[in-house]
Amino acid sequence: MSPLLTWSLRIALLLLVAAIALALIRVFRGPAAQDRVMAFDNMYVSATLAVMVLGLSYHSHSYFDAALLMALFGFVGSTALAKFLLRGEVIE
Amino acid sequence: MTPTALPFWGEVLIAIFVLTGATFSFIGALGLVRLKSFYARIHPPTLTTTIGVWALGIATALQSSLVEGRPVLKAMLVPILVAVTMPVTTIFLMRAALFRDRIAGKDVPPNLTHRSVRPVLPTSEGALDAGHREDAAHVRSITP
Repeated sequence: MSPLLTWSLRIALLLLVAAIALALIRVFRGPAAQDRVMAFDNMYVSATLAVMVLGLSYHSHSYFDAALLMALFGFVGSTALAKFLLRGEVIE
Repeated sequence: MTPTALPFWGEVLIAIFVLTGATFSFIGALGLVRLKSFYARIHPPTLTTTIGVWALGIATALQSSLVEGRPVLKAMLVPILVAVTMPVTTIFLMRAALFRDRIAGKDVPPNLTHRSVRPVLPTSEGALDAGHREDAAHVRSITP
């Protein structure tokens, strides 16, 4: 792997970790519950992207499967939280 | 790290896609922190879930295709999954935010689905009553 791609992947990982940190700031600071849920949602998508970048830099398919699972369970979690905010119960 | 025989143009393309995706994802998170209201903040995460996810999915698919020497599109599953699931979450969150802001008596647009039965909740009276009256007037105006 050329230094160009290596450094691009490092910079991308840094940017994604910064994105997770910014979303974490919103999770802690968000005035209402829906702000926190939305920031959590953005956080797990950024984490999925970070795992995909790791898979690119290590040439491993296991990282891709982990990213797929994270996307799937993150969706289930955020939808359950949003549904709870909407009605106060998850399954009616 | 295993040594691979990626051509140089492939590495450049992968680098461009990865950097684009990561940059837009960072900009989205920045907007999430900087914008003032929830209704403004619902927009920036879409940068992450469109350009960020698609660019990184394309980069991963490109890399596995170049390594295997044939089209390997398994990596596009993540963008497709996110594209299908993210609107559902966003719509739920938006409805939840509107619902909670109406209950809290904030200045938000009234409910447009005119239900005959509204849930009566312990709340500050003014906004809910205004919405109630408006709904009742609208129902009277459309009922023959």
